[in-house]
Amino acid sequence: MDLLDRWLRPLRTGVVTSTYPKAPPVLEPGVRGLPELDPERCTRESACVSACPTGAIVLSAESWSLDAGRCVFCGACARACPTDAIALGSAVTIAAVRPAGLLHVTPLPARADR
Amino acid sequence: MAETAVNPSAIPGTPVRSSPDGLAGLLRDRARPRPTVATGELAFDVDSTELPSIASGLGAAGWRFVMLVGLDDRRAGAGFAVEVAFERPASPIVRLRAPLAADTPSYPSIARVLPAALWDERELKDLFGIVPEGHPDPRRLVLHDAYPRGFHPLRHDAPATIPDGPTDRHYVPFAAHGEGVFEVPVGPIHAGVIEPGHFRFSVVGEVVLYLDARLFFTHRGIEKLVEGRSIARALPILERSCGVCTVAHATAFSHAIERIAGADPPARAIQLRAVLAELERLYNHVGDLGNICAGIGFNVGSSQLGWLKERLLRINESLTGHRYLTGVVVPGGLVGDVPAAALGAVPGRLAEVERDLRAAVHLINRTEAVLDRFRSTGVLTRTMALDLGTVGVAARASGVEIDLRRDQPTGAYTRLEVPRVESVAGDVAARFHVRAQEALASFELLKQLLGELDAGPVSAPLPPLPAGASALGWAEGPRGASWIWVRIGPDEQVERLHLRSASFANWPSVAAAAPGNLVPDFPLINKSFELCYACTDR
Repeated sequence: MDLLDRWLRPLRTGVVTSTYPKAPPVLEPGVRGLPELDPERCTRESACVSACPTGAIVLSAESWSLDAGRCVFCGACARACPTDAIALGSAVTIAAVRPAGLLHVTPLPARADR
Repeated sequence: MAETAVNPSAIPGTPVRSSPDGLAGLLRDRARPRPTVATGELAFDVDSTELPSIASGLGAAGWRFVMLVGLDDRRAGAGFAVEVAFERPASPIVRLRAPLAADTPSYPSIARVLPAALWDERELKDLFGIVPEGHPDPRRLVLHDAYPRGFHPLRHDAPATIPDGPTDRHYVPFAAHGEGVFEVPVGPIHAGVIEPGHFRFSVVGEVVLYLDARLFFTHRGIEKLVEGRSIARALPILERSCGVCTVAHATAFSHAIERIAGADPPARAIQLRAVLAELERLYNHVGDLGNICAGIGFNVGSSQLGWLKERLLRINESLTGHRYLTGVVVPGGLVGDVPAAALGAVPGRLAEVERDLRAAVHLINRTEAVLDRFRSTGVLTRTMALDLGTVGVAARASGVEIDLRRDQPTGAYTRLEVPRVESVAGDVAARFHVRAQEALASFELLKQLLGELDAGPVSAPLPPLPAGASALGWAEGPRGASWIWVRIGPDEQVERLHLRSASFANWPSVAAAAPGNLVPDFPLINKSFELCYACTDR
């Protein structure tokens, strides 16, 4: 019986692996991926910069940039943001060939706009 | 020589002043009480010359060695100091501090009477330059040959970068000698995706006579790195000491901080911490069972259990956003509540995993070719486990009843009945059995915890942390007891922190279990302990 079970069980179970990287990775809702900024909501108070435990965020007049090589996906930036402009997205495939590829830059609207 | 009477009224959380349980008689006029902020802890100042006799007396009275902490108090006008902590079920924790000289700090080694401290004292010598006189193994442990002589990074005046300078002579492995004895070096680079460690086997034919394990290739100086950091910035580093004991380390750290602050997190937070701790135990145990199967090339078992581990990791991800549970446990509670929808789905998902785990374990237990490899392989005797201070699954598989969830219960475990899982054989089969039974017990604990979750907040602000206060925190992780000692400096910064992980405690046991076995069985023995290198090396 055990031998039969050993042969039949895989057939009953079927394929459990995914076809990543051909298909996107299987993720649970709520996964903490790369932090993303909504530039329209950002008031540039740099609460995220001081909250980040690894110094992954740089805020300038023109842009908000996140170094994925430093980010540990803790979500401190999103919790610190007074305007809820930051959310942890579902981007988890962030490997890059060069260090510069780890820098994710979000342009900010010019100051005069607001 | 020591009194062994147990005082039934001494419960954790009750500071015992005139302790009638043998402690007072043991310490007599040799120890001067020192104030502590944390409840359930007794602190004493002792002369360093008294340490070995007090340590052996405490050991004989059933106290277990917890850790040894080096301190550099020269900035405060004092010298160095060494602190030794002990615990015993249903007793307060005992901390003995011995002040040492500022110029050439040394004290008589306690490892001769307390072999559990063998590695702790070697580490202390490397990182602080505090010499345990008469230590049976004076070789370097943490700092390998390339570090210059006289460089002790945990001293406050240590240079920030490693200076050039003459180094100590090359590493000399302990080995057996004689006609027909060969040495087989393995590692530090291994086939497969595992961490670095160098194993030097002395063999006759295929039989191991002696194993010298050399670790600390991934020493990153985490204890130095967190010095002077705020609690919030120290935590992300600390909980990544290794990848798989995250909740244990974060909980132990948070526990120490909360004991210093004198505040407990809200009920829902401590219940959810226990949920996360059991989920961490589950995915580790299930994955380790699979790794043990991989250790003998039993692919049916390893692939089925690997799939179950993946499903458990996805449950972790659904609750916390992270498969390995980082960034959730913080001093004061949790960073936020778990999503209600995901939480509601957990019992059903766990039930499916439990059903499949039972089937997989049944299949493995019915495969004679597997059991033949497991039985009588890598025996750790009860005496060895007691002497070496083995913790966790490895200790319980050798007939040593030790589990901080029962012995020093904190948080939700004060009200949970954690079942005893017994085994006495001390071999790979026993460690496999204990893991499997504990995993099944974790499902029951999770059912109980998830059925009785309180509503309410998951964090509460902590009162200010007094500068100079220190405390221990602990958690029973998947590999056993993780202990953290922390002292707060000015501005609520971490002044000194020491992590003694379960893996650190258990590595000497792996080396002790190897002799008498065949070299090709060592990967199996190693996997049956399944220790981390990273949180050992730190």
